[in-house]
Amino acid sequence: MRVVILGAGVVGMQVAAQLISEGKDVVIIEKDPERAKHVTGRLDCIVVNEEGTGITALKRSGIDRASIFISVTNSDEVNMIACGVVSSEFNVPVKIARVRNLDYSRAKITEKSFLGIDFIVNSEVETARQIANTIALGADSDVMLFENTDLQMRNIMVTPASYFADRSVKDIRLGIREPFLIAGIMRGKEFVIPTGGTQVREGDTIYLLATQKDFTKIFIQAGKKQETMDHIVIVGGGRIGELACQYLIRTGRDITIIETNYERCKVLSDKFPDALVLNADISDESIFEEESLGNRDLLVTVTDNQELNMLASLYAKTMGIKRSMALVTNANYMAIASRLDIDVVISPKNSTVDAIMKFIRRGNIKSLHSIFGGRAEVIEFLANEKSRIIGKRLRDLDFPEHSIILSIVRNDVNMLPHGNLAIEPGDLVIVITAKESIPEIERFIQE
Amino acid sequence: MNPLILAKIISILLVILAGFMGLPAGIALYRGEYASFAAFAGTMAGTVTLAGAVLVLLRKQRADALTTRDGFLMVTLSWVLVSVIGALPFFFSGCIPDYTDAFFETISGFSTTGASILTDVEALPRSMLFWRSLTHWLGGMGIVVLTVAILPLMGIGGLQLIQAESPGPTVDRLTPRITGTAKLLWFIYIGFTVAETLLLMLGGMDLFDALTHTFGTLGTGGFSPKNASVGHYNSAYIDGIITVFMLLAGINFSLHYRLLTGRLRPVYRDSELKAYLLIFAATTAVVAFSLYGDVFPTAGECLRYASFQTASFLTTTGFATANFEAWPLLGQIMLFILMFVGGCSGSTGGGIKVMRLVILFKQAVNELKLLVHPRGIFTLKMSGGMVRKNIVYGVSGFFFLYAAVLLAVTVVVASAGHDITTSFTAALTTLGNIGPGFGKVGPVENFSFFEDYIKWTLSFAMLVGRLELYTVLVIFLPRFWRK
Repeated sequence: MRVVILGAGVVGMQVAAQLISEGKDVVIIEKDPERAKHVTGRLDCIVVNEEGTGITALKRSGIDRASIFISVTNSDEVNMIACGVVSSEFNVPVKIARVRNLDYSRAKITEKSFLGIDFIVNSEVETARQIANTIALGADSDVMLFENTDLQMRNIMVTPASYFADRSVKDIRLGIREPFLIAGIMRGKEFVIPTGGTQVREGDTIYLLATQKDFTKIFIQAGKKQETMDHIVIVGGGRIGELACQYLIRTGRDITIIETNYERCKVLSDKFPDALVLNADISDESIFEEESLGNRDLLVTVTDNQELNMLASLYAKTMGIKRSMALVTNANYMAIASRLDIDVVISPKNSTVDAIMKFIRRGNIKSLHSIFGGRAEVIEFLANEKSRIIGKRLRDLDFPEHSIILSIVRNDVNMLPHGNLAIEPGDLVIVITAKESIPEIERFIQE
Repeated sequence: MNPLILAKIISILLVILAGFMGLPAGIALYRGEYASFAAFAGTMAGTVTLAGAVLVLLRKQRADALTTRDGFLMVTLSWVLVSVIGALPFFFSGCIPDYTDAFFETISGFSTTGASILTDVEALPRSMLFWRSLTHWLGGMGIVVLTVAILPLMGIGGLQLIQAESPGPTVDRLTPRITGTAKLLWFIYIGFTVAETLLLMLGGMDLFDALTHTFGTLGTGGFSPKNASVGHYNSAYIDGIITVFMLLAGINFSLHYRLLTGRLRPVYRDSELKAYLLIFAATTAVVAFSLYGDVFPTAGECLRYASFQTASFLTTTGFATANFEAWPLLGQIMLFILMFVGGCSGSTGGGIKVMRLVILFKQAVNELKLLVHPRGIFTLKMSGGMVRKNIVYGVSGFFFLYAAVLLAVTVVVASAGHDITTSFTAALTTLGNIGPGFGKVGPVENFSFFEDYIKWTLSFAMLVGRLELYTVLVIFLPRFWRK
């Protein structure tokens, strides 16, 4: 399958890397020669160094044979026009545009199939929403919400004193009364999908699945106290910071935004008259003293510089801030960050990748989240009558390795799986699977 | 600078003025006030002949090449010449035998001030009283069109704001063309005139009294054909109607337009309007409180007199229903403070204007916030939009100039040996286009006792205050005249 990507920015590179690792043929169109050279050296794909809206460039990229066209340049207008050109000149089944302007995103572009755009991605909105959700839930762990159920996935860092340390998954489940599931274990750089016998060790980060209500109780057992998050500092007034502020300020929280760019500060202070906007650099220690930032409840770092985000979050904790949250894009850093004293690690939700994957594996898949920079995927799919998994008890299913069923939603009721449960037609099944088992699970679902 | 175009435009204006003189001339003829009729007719004939001659000579001159500088000169000259000519009937008819007095009275009318040199108003013929009130109405209309449609184009002291209710780079004019905007404002103004006249007649006034009081109200002028001003009628209903219309005239006319077209959002969001109503309500409450028991026995009466006098001072109208100089000092001080406020921008009211005070207040609060958060960024917002720095500078400059002119005029008045209260409030009331002051220029006194040079100075203050200072003062800048 051939995928043509327009724009080799951060998002373009990320998407390309993921698709290449899944065995797709990727062609990138990038107009900047330096950037094109950089990409050629790092990714196993063809790079066409030309302006992307030109028909010749598109032809040279072999778009006639492509199944998917993804436009992720920095300009909304270029992305939309590129999709328009592709849809009028070529026959590409799926056209995805990155559109960051909220006015466009809210418009009925995909419904009315404007310029042939099938899907609009706006990862900044998703990320900001994720930040707001996590804060609403106490900012004590990363939170992943699912669309069709009130179950959520959260992580806990296993400390030596923790209840979870040195026990097998089976034992842990017996010891806690609330229904929950260990969906995955992050050990070093490795993501493990556990079986009953898997031993949880000190230093692991475990991913739990439960409802919001039950998490409160589980977290108390795991030794994390609930805190109110009323005074929040947002470091970085870029688009993510702005959107996060917009979501948070509505809930009546006291927001301080720290941004280095003066012009940007003016825009923010105009937009959020109730927030305190500071024109300062977070790496300048005096700002902590001057504004007594140490007394705030939470520091969220969302600058473009992920190293700065991690350091600032750590430093804030030493200055007395109760909780810290850092935006980290690099998958390797995410593993480190989870082990440091950063309470929540936000990774820009890769909605572009998710959307593409969902299109690629169309059919009964309802939604799909790729997590940990593609090390694992959470797939929600609808069980149909013809599927061979119908009617069998779970313990009798020859489920692929490194994947587990997280939940079955039947008539809007969540059921945590157990061996005697049988899948019925119309059930929504949520599965987590490690990267290497994705093809197997795909086959399993589609059959 | 193109003096020919200026001459042409001002000639047109003077012909229109002469046309309006036809109204009191008609009244004079109808009532048999022949001396007045002769004065009006003479003035009209002279003006039309002279202006007509200029127009005929300059008929080929196209009037579309005005620069901003021409604009300043044109506006100032128009106001001065209109007053010079408008004063002639008073002078010719012998009603006001001294031309200095006649000019003072007339510019007080056109600038919607309402300060008078007449000791016995009711002694004047009806036609003269009508003309006197009509100057308020014309001046008020002129100022609305000027401040809503013309001054913003010249960027006068923060007035750009009145068109910027909706933030964004495009100026939010009412209509795409200035003539369209002016026409619209005329309709609103005339609509208010008809409404108030009818309502006042319902309250028992005859057509003449209703019209003249309406002129005085909508222009926020304050001339009344009665010696005791509105107090003459001693009617709660009339007080109420006039209070409401004074307040309406003190509101930005572009908001009236929006209200009439059903666009409530800009009205609801307007910071200036909110501040204006808040100032009115708070001052009324304090004044009423000060009156309670001592001056009026019932709360209803306190509120009636307090709200009327508050509205009269806030909108810079200057009507009186009571001798407020006999009121408790708390109430007097509140009214005195209002003399610094004035109406909303784009209204017929004078003074510093609520808009400017709100901007200065918000800027001051931001300065305080900045002391607590030295690296904080605070934007100044009006009506939901961001106020740019240069507007704040313009407003600060205006405020300083206002204070400077106020003090200068005070010094001139005091130079003749008048006491501090009289000197200061005479300067304040003329610069703010209010009318009555305190001391020897209180509500039951008038300006006739002043020396001639003081009358001319105060006339100048009225003109400067009316035209938002900058318009007049810029003409005294040497570089204004440089080629």
